[in-house]
Amino acid sequence: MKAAVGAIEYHFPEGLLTNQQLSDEFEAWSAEKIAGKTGIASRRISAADECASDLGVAAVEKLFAGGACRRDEVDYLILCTQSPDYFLPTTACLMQHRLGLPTTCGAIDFNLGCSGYIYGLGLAKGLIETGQAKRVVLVTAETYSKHIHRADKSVRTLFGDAAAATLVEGVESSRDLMGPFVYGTDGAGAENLIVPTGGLRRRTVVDAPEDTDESGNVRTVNHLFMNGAEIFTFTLQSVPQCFARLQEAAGIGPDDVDLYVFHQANEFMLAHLRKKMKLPEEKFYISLADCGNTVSSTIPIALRRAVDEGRLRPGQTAALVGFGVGYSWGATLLRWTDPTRA
Amino acid sequence: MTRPEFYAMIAGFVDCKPSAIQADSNLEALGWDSMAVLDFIAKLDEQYDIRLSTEKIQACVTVADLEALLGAHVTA
Repeated sequence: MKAAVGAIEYHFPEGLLTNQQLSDEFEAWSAEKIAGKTGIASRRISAADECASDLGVAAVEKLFAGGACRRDEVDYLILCTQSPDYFLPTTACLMQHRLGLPTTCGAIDFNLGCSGYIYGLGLAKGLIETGQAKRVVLVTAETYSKHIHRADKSVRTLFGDAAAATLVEGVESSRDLMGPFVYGTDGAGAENLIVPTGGLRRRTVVDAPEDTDESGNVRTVNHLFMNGAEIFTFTLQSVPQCFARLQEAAGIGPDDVDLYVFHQANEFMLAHLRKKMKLPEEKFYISLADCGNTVSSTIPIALRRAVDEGRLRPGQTAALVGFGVGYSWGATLLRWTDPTRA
Repeated sequence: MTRPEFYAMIAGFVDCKPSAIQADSNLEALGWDSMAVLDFIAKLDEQYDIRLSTEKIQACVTVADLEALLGAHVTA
């Protein structure tokens, strides 16, 4: 039994944040400049009472509506999020109930950001290929907008809210349809992408003072902070090395990959990585203009779109690389199998 | 790279003429912002295979400070 991706669906909240709106709010931050640097035209933003679980449930319902599988066939639900509904209970447990999944279903959350999809696929593969589960639904869901200060244009420009649901199921196959997996972690970079408060190390600060950085971005300790330059430098170092490890583990060369689907951080970073790694433009998939950086959902959203556009066809191999907050990174190969189900 | 090439590079990141760049030019006054820092990191990596400490780049106040970070990579 080999684990394979059977279907991918995604869901965006209705709220919209356009470059024009940002440019109206932030002086000297023109819509053209934003689009030119980031490749993002608009982001989708969750409503005040709309949480990651709501977005995730909507994405999973699309899997059922599309006929990917029945709800009583799901025997494991994995949720990747850094914006859970509660400390406890586990958000995946709440989702199991709302989705009407069997009570014989396992359900867990794990906390990762932009590398999360790779780790989720790795966990799903482990569950399936050790016989612990037959049909795993992997949900990636984030509402980073709720971590972001309204006057912090640096992160408000980049991040959008979204959820994706991926059905990973066991199929008869003589070869691996997913993998190998390579992972990486360097907690030394934790402070460069962080929400400093809200956990138990440092509780949310009431009436926290606002700080304005040298670029004019405003935030408090309760909000998301990103040191863009440090994250960029980390990415330039870790992603090429990570992909080289994947190539070595898989015993493949550049021609063995049909489509590169990297975490859609922003176009500036992706374009630079592509050039640095000497990857062909026609095989390098970019799709974030209408949704921005949706954290752990960027890779499944891009995969689904690449399949819909015929850029990833049955029998072809996609190389997936996720990287970001933690620092955490990972990469894998995905052999696309069933055209009718995604 | 030569100093004129270095100045031209900086000018490109802040949208001004290379002639406006002097050793003692204040980076912030030139419009050097977080995007310019990213452009600078990308350009050094891509064209010159140079990686500098991000912290040190962010601590620079003048054009001369940046040049000093590059040391022997910039020739007069």
